[in-house]
Amino acid sequence: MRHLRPEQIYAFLEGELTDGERRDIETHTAECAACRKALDERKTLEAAWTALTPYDVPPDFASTVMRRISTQPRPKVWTWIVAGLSALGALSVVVFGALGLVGTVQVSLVTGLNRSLFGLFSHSLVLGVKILKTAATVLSLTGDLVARLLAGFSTLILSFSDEIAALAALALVLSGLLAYGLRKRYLPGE
Amino acid sequence: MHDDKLVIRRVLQGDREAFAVIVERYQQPLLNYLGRMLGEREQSLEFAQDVFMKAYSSLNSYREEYKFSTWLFRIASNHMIDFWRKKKIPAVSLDRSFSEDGATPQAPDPGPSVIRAYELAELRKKIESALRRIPESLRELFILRHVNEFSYEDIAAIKSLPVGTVKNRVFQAKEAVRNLLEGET
Repeated sequence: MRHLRPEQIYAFLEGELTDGERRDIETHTAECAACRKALDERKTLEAAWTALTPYDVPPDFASTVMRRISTQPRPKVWTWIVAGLSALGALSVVVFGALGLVGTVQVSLVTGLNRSLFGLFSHSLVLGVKILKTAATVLSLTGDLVARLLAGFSTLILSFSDEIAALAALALVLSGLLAYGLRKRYLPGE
Repeated sequence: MHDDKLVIRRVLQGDREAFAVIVERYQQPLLNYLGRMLGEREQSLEFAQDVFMKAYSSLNSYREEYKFSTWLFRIASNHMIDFWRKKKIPAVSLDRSFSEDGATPQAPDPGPSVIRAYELAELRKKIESALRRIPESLRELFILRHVNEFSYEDIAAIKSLPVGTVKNRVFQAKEAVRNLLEGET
């Protein structure tokens, strides 16, 4: 057997080798003074650095942290609100900024948007009334709503020019990334 | 560490004071880690407070399928990285491995034992000193492994690195420390 490599020695000391590998190392170190010395040395080092002196914790550390915590509400909801509003803001800026630049398709876009939103609103009202009337029709009405939503979105998307459609897609991607980034920023452990 | 999850549930249900259990449980390991990474006691204490604050503020994003300890140390690690980034402290590249410097010998060294001259207490001091001189990216993994005693898998989760990379870097860190000690004998 050739001389042991340092990573073999550490793996041996950390108990990461198979029984066979361990036996090989034990046999080799029994015969090889240089490797035995290398093993002993790293064994001493391992013992030393796994027993480094702990840092002193001030006795009032926990109470100081808890005092700071007591002055802050736990932001369970606001992180989502901030991230959502920021993303919405970014989306609006990009879409309306692009509209301002392109200009000519504003009317068709706004008309399509209005039509879709109005359609969504009116159909939602109808759906709400129907749900109250009978639970049996809920499934079919939901299907109806989805179909109308899809139809509304289709109308909206068809009213886009290619440039606006591309910009809207870009804006959606950017706002998604922004929302993700903000969530990472505010929820650091994720 | 199932207790952690129970405590966190209590905190999320509105028992704010229950978080003190978490602080008391992790203040020592967190300070052991931050103290050695930052090198300044006051700053480490401040950082540890910040880490607990961040953890508390984002507790609702903690998912129980993961260990709380790794989640907390991930926050601590990210907090330090943010700090260094703001201070514009350059990260040391690991592209060039230590072995290229000849710092990681591939065979047992024939010279006198590097630890012979030191008693254990003295050796610990020398190790602390050597730790401050190796790149942060290696030092951090060394500390997580040998001071905080995380498994390689936990460290991989904390740092979002493959387990093999973690093992390799911990090994590089150990040999870097050893070589620095050797240079002092």
